[in-house]
Amino acid sequence: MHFSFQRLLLIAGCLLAACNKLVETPPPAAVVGASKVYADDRGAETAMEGIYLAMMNNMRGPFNGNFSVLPALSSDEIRCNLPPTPLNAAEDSFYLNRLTAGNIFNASQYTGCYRLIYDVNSLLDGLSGLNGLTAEKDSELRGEAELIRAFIYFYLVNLYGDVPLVVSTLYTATAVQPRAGAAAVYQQVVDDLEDAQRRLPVAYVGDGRTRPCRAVATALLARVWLYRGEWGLAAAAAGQVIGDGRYRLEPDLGRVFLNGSQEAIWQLMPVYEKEQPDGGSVRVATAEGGLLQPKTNSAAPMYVLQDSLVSSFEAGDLREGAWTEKLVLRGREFVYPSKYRQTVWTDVNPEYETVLRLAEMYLIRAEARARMGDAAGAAADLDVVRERAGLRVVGAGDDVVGAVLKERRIELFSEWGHRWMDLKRTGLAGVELGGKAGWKATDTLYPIPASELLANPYLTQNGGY
Amino acid sequence: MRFYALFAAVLLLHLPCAAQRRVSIHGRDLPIDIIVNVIESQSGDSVKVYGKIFDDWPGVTLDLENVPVDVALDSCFSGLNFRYQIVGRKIYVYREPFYNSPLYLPVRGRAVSEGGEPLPLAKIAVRDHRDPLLSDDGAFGIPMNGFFITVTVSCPGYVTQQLELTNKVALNTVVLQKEATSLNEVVVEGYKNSAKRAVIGTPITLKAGDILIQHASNPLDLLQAQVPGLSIVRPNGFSNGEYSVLLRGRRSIGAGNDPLYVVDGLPFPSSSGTGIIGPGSPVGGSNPLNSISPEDIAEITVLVGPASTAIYGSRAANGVVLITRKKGLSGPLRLNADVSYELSRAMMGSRLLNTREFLALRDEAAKNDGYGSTAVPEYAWDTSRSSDFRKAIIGNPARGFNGHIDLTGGTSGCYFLLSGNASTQSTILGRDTRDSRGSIYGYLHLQSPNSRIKLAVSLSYSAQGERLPQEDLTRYMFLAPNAPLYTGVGADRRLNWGADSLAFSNFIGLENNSYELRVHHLLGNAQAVWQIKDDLYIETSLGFYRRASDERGTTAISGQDPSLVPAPTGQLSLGSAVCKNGIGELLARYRHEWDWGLLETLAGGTLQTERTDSSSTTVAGLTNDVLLATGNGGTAVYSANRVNYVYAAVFGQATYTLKKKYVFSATGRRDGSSRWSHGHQYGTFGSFGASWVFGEESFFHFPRWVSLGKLRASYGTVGNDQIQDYQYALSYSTVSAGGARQGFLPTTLYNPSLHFETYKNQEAGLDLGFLENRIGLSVVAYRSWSTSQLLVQKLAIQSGAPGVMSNLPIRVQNDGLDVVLRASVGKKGGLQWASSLNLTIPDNKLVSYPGLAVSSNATTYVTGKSLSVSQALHFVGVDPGSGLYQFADRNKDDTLNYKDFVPTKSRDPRCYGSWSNSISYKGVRLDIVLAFCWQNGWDPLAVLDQINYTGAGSQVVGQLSNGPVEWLDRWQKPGDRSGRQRLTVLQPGMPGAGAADALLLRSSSDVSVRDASYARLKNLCLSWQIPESWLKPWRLKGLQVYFRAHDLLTLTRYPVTDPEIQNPTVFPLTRSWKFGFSLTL
Repeated sequence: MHFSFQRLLLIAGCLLAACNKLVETPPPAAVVGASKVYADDRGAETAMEGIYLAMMNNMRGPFNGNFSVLPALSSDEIRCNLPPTPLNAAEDSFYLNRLTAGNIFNASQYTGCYRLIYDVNSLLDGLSGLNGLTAEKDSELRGEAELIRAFIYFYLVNLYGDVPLVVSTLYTATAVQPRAGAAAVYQQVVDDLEDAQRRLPVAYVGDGRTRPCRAVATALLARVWLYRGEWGLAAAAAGQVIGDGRYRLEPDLGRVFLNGSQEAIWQLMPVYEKEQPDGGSVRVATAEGGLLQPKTNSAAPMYVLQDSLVSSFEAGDLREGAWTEKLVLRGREFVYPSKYRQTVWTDVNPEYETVLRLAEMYLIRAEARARMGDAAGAAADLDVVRERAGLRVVGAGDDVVGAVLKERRIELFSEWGHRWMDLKRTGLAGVELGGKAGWKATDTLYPIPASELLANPYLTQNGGY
Repeated sequence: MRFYALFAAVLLLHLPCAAQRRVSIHGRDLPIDIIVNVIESQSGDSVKVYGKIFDDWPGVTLDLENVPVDVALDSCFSGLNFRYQIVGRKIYVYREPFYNSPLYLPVRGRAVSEGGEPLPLAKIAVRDHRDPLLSDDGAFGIPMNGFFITVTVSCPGYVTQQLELTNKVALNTVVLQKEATSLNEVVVEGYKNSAKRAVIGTPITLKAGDILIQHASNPLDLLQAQVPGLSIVRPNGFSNGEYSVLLRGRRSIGAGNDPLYVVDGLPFPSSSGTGIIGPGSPVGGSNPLNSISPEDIAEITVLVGPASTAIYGSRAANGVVLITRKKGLSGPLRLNADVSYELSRAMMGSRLLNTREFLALRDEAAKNDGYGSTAVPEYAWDTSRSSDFRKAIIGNPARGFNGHIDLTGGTSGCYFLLSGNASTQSTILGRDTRDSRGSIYGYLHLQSPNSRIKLAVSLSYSAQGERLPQEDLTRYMFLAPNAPLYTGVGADRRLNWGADSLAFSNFIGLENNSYELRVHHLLGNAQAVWQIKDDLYIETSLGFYRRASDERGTTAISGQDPSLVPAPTGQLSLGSAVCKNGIGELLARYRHEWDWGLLETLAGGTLQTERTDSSSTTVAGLTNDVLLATGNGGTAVYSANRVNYVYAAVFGQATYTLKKKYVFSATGRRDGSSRWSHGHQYGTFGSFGASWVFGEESFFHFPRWVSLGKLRASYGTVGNDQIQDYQYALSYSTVSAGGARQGFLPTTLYNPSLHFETYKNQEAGLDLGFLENRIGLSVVAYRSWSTSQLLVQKLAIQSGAPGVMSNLPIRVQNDGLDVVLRASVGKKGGLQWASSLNLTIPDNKLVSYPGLAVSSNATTYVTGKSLSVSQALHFVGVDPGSGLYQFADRNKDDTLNYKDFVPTKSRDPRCYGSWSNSISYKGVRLDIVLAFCWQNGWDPLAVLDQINYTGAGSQVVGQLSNGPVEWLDRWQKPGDRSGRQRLTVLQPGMPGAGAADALLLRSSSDVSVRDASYARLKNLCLSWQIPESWLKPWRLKGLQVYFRAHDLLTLTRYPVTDPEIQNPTVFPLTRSWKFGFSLTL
């Protein structure tokens, strides 16, 4: 062919191939390219903010209510008081300890955790890569992200046992990761928290105590050491927080969960705006407020306290009056938790989701001291908590550990799954919950959702499911 | 006497004939009538005498014995100023002066197709003259070189006509009838026009003449059932709705299946860009092709098959629809005007139950569940009231007016077309619903005197406005027939929304929530062709497209159920989107003919950029419906977005035709799209093919009635990039909550290795023509495989998301057979009949899907079956004893779950097509298009059950409680045999609600797919071209009156509703009648 059509095509093709730029476009305006996000402190701060919003911008995510409600159902704290619809049945099976791998509440809890881990890992990726952040902000955000990741894994390992340990965003690799041993997960949690301790600033930044400072990492580490049986480390870490000077037990039990509570170490701000049928929206308060408070005065609460918990309150315990509520409807009495009372957001004294508070630190140190044989020291810490509840001091008795655990049940009921996890870590689950109909030893671990086992052939199921 | 010499030549031609007929005349002073009588009686010829020649006839003396007729005539007229002409067996006699004057005056005329379209390629030849006259866009002038001449008018692809002209008769229009099949017909393919002889692919063309007989609001309407392999399904009856278009089957599972639309050479977006505002559009989008008025379309060509589509590369995966608009004509100014009135009515479907029937069913349902009539709350309403809500909601007549005007004219070097359209139409929802459109279109053609440079500029603007309720209200016709829409009387009369167990959505109130859409389209295009050498052309094309749409939705306080929201407030939603698209193309063509063949090559490049800006504002909390107009006093939320898309390509094609019988063609294209990341942006596509006109081989001895035979085959690859932009890179989206807190979160998992979906196509075709191509048959067999399917790959959530968009090695195969049979029979000036049958037998198959069992599509698709086959329980029937639906427990584990699933029937058509007939006689023409489809579809009763699961016994009276008369056939007592089970008032999942559970299971079981075949009288058009002689006094060139009916009659066994839409709760199709006239000045 003397007319060089082919050559023309070839040349043009090479030219085009050479300039890939020709068909490159900026991202759609509704999304921001990763390079822009990490171009400066402000962008990276906004990405951090996104993670807090992801935790709280829902009706009941794992970090917004579910970690308080679902384990409380599984243990001996609350039970469902809901009509038996299929959806309610899914929730009721936590109370009945009859979870199946298909349970949707269990799946959404598991899913919510890993989605958040991806967001955190993605932020850590952004900080590791080329970015325009100042060194201080870079370090601070990294510490914050590590703390959140440790916090999520702490719950995953406690609720599910061995879990896939994902610390990267490379989904081709992470999607098929098998479960890591609980020890390895805890090691990651400790590493993250210790690094966070080094990086986080001493003082709180931003609104109230919502953004973790160094003391938050220390407080969480205290809890981790307690769970790991490292009594000395736990006592030291808890002692560090107690001695911090910024925290004191709120004398008024009604103020413990408010923004501005002196007892709070880490709180999360409720942000969810619920859409109304007419197009408007109502900003709701904490999920606990929305879930545990009855909708109206004439409606029964959705969850009530189990009788064993109600009867565990000592006479004169101020907490019974302040943190539980009685409602009598048509002759039936309902007792329900009322640590959080607001259902709708209020600008004056709003309730914040309180993740860590000083009372827990006292109880951690008390238990650690007791386990190390320091009964007097343990009793002293325990009595700080009891005194605030208007109870007599116990002093160093025979079973200080037992007294501390009992106190934890009362002080921390319906908060963040404390009771469920305490029973498991102390090996008392079988003893305390064995009385529930159909209890099996394997019920202490929730099942890995069935859909995940299908999606990742390397995952294994927990025993009993 | 020069003329005489010519005339003699004409005479000589007739001599052999005339010489054979001999006459004998003897007599003195014979009068002319005697001579005529003698010649007629002896020769058998007929003699026509013009003029008053008898007045001064001198009388002649003849003594002729057995001489040829012409000799006799010569003797008769010698010395007299009379002349004669013998044509066949006719003899014309006339006085010479009469014939002298118009001697060289040309007779002017115009060759047009049956549809009235000018034929620019028409040729006219005076019989036995060597050089035919080329027409100028169908118009020609013939110098008369005799009183009487025979001319031949021919045009590639049309049956050649012979005309006998006398100079007394002006030749106005010559209507050429299309050949059923022809190798000479010119076909538009991508980037070129070729004679059908050289075409390897399968382009199907509809010309304006075929288009205008149809009643259509959209070019896609025109194509429905007209093109083999092209399935167009209307999801609802809104004239402005989106269409589901599939060309040769569904090929992509996860990405778009839209064909590429090319208007006047420019790619045209197929998505509407509407639906930005929260409530969305009740129509489900607005088809952007609505901006093109059917009256402005010259032709639509659908390209399928590798040889035709590969030149469009990555965007032609699902075929190409080329729309070419009219370009005007040179010649004197011509003005066309067309005005029509239209009336439409809904295709109503089954009658709904009246109150008596409805309450009887409710009663029976309550009794079945052990309740008394008190369990039927509707008894609280007036039981003597019975409203036909179907009639109230969709029973309104929709009326519309349509006007079109165009003006064209100019010289061959410069001509233009200006056209304007306006239409307005109400809908069957009545009230103030409206769909109005207006458009103007202009085209200008310029060329240099030597025709080496040609320039064409076109510009069009269209505006469209639509006003509808915010939601499709059709489904509210299923409200219980005794529901009171109002409470109170007189001044206290207000809308009733019911309460508690009698709460319902009041459609009169919902009408207050409105949706308005305005769309403006601007389309401009400039094309230049420069002929550098005789065989080398450079072409360039620049185009832009701008679409601006504004949406406005209101939710009024009066349009909300006060029981749902204690203190409702109004909401105003505004949305706007502007899409700007620019495209530049440069093309070189080289064409050279040697003795041994013809080479045609082209090479070019395209660059296209598109930017879409959208924004929406929602104003909530309006305390008064009056404020909906302005939004004052509400709280506003604003959001905006901008999306960019860039596309670049180079392409080339070479076609070589050997001995006019063997054609070889190869096409290559390299495309880049901004939807992929670095290193994956470009894809290479190509095709090759060959055809062989075996009918012209001398070694085959075909019978004479076989006039054409051609074989063709091709193979090629194309691609698809119809996914969302920017999925290849990590991006963050903004979230806002908690008052004004803002955050970034990763949007989705990203996949840097995304690339084009690739389809491999192959086809083979056979074209045959019979009886001088009056009958044509074309059979095409095709097969395509689509791989690298863009689909969300399921991932474990530990990766961060349940899935990621990926190119999966899934293989989908589409086979099929397209058959077109055409016939045209006609006699000039007499009855003409043209018929065309097209038929498609498609087959879609999911060949392989690695990991299907563990994917999220595990019960949606079945390997080895069509993509429309899913998995469901197998329905056994109604147990005559218990009256409950029964399903097969296939694994005998006493539970019904997904393990018992069987593949459902396919919902793909087994066969579809249409049969068109056109009959014309003189100026009257009748066109009938019959469309048919043999298929399975959704069972409408299952669709109703799914929405209203307890059938005629819903305990809570929702919007959908009533049902069609088909509900009356049911199981009533043990032993009954019925297709429908016993009635219940219970909700699924409630204790003892076995019947309700079974109903819900049935609605998703394999019986929810049933036969939905139909045959439909899609178009009927009757038109009458008023004879020109009648129009002369009015100085009109043409006047036509017409009547067109659309979707007039449907033959089907499908119950309840229309088998095309298959859903009784959506806006139905309409049946329409249109009356109009068009005139030409």
